[in-house]
Amino acid sequence: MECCKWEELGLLYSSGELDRNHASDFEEHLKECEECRKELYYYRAEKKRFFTIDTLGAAPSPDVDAKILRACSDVHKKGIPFTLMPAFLRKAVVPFALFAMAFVSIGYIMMNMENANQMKSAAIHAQPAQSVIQSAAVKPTLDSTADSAKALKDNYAKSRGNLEGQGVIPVDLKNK
Amino acid sequence: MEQIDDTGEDQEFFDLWLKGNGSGFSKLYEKYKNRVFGFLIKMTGEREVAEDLLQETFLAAYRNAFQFDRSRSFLSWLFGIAHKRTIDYFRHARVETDHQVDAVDSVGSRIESADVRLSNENIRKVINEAVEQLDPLQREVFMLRELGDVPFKDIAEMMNCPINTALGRMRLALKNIRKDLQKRGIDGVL
Repeated sequence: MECCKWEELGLLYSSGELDRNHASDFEEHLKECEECRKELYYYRAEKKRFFTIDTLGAAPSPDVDAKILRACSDVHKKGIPFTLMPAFLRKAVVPFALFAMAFVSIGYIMMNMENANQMKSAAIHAQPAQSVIQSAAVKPTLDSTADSAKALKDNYAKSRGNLEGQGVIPVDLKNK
Repeated sequence: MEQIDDTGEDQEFFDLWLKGNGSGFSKLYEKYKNRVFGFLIKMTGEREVAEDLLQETFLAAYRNAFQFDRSRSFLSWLFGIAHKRTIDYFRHARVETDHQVDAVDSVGSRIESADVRLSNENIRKVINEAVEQLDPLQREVFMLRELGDVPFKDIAEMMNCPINTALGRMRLALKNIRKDLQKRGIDGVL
């Protein structure tokens, strides 16, 4: 029958994970418990004889060594080569590229549509003002070149009066 | 205590590596490649897959170097990455672990007598067969602990289980390996 302290504390004691107090408690326990003493003795012996890098480890082929050493030492200069990317990243590259292209195309189309809408609405708002200006303008009727300046001035004053009457204030370029 | 205490040396190599000095990386790689590769082979059962994962592990270590917590051991951190890569591999490839069945068959036909003097190569073969026969979760804990020197609290975190579960799996792994070896007439303390 195995002592429950072995699983609870013995393995942590062997791995050096117990704090000083718990370690000394377990050492006290070891003095009394033959089972735990035996387990610890066996585990240490097995670890030394069997659980070593030589028995459990394995050497990759020299080709793989060379490939990894070359790749990792060059990564900071060149970025990660496509073939050395993790498999899931390699698989994700094509869908991601398609997604990015679709995203950019849709964004471009939407931006154009938005611009077209804005221009359309600006044109609709500008239309009434333009019609008001056209209706307010009075065609000049000039009898002779002598009083053309006077006629133009009168015409301008009439147009301005008409526009002001309809709530449109023209910019007075002369006074500016 | 069988703790590996190369923290200072590892960090020195790691710093060189981060500064772009290739010798820092090659020293760490030479030092730990057999441990990590041994772990990956035991977990995947396929040499080629293990080689791919080894490559991914070291590249991931490079890419995530800034995440390395210097209060921890470099080897444990590296094993944490290797463990994640293995999980990703199984998750993506959904590989059936048929090799376990093969291992059981091959072990059954190779029971050796008690007085056979084992060469290093034979010990290696026998131990590896015993490890391959373990339940996958027991094998995972055993390999992380024995090859990666990963503390049990970190193993529990990696495997997303309470520490007592990790300890229980380790105890069972040791018990099963010992039983297997005794069946072949091999005693660890001889």
